[in-house]
Amino acid sequence: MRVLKLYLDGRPAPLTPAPRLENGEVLIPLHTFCEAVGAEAKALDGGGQLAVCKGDLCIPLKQAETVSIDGVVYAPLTAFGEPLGLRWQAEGDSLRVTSGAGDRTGLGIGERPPDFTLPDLYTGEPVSVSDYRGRKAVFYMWASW
Amino acid sequence: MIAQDAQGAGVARPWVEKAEATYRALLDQHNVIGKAYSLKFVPVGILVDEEGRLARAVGGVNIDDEAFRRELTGWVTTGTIPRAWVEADRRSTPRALTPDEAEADARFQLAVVLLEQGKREEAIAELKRAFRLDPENWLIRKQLWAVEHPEAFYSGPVDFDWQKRQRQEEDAEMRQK
Repeated sequence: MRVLKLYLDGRPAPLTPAPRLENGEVLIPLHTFCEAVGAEAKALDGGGQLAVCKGDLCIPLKQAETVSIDGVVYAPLTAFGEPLGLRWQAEGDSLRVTSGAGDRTGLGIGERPPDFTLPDLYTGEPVSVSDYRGRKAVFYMWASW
Repeated sequence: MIAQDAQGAGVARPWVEKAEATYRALLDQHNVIGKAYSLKFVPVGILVDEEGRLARAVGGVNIDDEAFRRELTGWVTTGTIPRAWVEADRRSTPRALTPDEAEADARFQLAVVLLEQGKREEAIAELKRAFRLDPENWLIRKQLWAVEHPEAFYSGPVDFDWQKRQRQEEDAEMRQK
């Protein structure tokens, strides 16, 4: 078992108790985690069946999926993370969760990105974002490694 | 297509040629984009409209992904920004570099210059310092791997098993500290 520190969209979001990695599976403390990602864990129909709800979307959890440790209900993130639009990665002692914002790069739609000028890979000729004014352009960043 | 390659055009060109690329290929040896756009990994797509305004910055972009291709085609033909892009945008908060990230970038820049001067060992030392300052920055981390262990990257297909082992070893080392 490994205790994990939660990062939400790149920022530390400590939970008590903390998420844990058990047998390769990420277990999160259900109620505090849901709160942190703007969701809610609640009993369906007032019964014992728990569900994770966000907006008008509710994902029921199977009883077998949840586990109670020291009075705290834990659930595997795989039980509801994807339908909620979360992506995550447990690495070392960090659990990095992105809510779709982690794929952003620090600019908003409609803003003008910083103009950059880079050399052509073959000719060395400088090319700028502003050279593409008047046309739509897709810049794709990649690497040989 | 913009290659994020501190080692220069020589390592990037073979990939472009193998792909028989019909689009323009650029080189970003000094992590200009990484810094301007706070990128910490590739691949990333940046979509800019006729007025030079951002329509979408998307990580892990895959042109073979059908949903993304549909969104992209819609945007190119009609100029409509898909709801998914707007929602992803709404959830995000831009932020400035932390002091550690800024120092990591400075050391990365230094490493590029050292590489150009053929001082490989010194470049590796700087890249290692940069990596420790900004361990989540995969542009730095994997660049370091490629410089220090070229055999895992540039002789035949990229060795992903090697990368996995390397990552586990480094992560274990960082946990001990």
